[in-house]
Amino acid sequence: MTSRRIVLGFVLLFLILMTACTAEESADPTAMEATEPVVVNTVTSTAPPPSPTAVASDEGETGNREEPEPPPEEATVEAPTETPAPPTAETPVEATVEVEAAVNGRTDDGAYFMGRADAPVRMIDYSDFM
Amino acid sequence: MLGTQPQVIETYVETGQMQLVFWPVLNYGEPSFNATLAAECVGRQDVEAFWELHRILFENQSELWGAGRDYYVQAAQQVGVDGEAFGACFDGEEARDHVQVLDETRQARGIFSQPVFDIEGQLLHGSQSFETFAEVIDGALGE
Repeated sequence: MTSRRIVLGFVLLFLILMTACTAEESADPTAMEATEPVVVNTVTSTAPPPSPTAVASDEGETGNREEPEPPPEEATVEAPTETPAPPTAETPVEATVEVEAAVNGRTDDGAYFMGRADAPVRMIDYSDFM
Repeated sequence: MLGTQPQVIETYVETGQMQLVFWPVLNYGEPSFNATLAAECVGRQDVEAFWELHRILFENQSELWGAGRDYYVQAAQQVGVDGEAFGACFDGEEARDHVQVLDETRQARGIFSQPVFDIEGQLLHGSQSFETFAEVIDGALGE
């Protein structure tokens, strides 16, 4: 009789313990059974960070082609075509000539000449008006 | 030289390759002297006007034989110089003496006929074609 009571006590104790373990599991639903190590995959970027997009140039785009280029901060402005200002009364117009205009004058002897004094060739025309 | 002068001037003078000097020759006495004196007095007021009168006188050579002071005063006014100043020059001694000196100088250089063209020491006697001038001038230019 006593051995039967002991066995029943152990069974009763076992049941109590089982009941307690079950209650703990239900109270912490997030708890996981530590049956195997948990590996959390962390995504890390190996690609270089996108470089800031340079000002657009004629040589081509720069920066990351996969990402849309942000608008440049400094827009490339083509130099306006310089157009000569219309001549005004205050703006002297410089005539551009390839060859210096013929300068007429007198030689040291007093004869009249036509053309540049430093011309490479000189021709003297000895003539009578008659 | 009047015939080929415009072409020579356009080809060589206006391009800066050659300087053209007019040296008067007085081979026909007073008509030659008066024409040269008139050109001298015009040039003293305006060098550009000298060349304009030079052209007019060569184009009207037949009129110069009997041309007097009044003719040249009118011609001077035609090219734009002051007639009164021209008259004073024409009547004065300074310009006359200068014209005479120029004529004496050309004689000292051995020039007795006309026209004579001295192109860097090479002399051409008489009127020449443009091709002849070009050949000599180009030779002087080293072309």
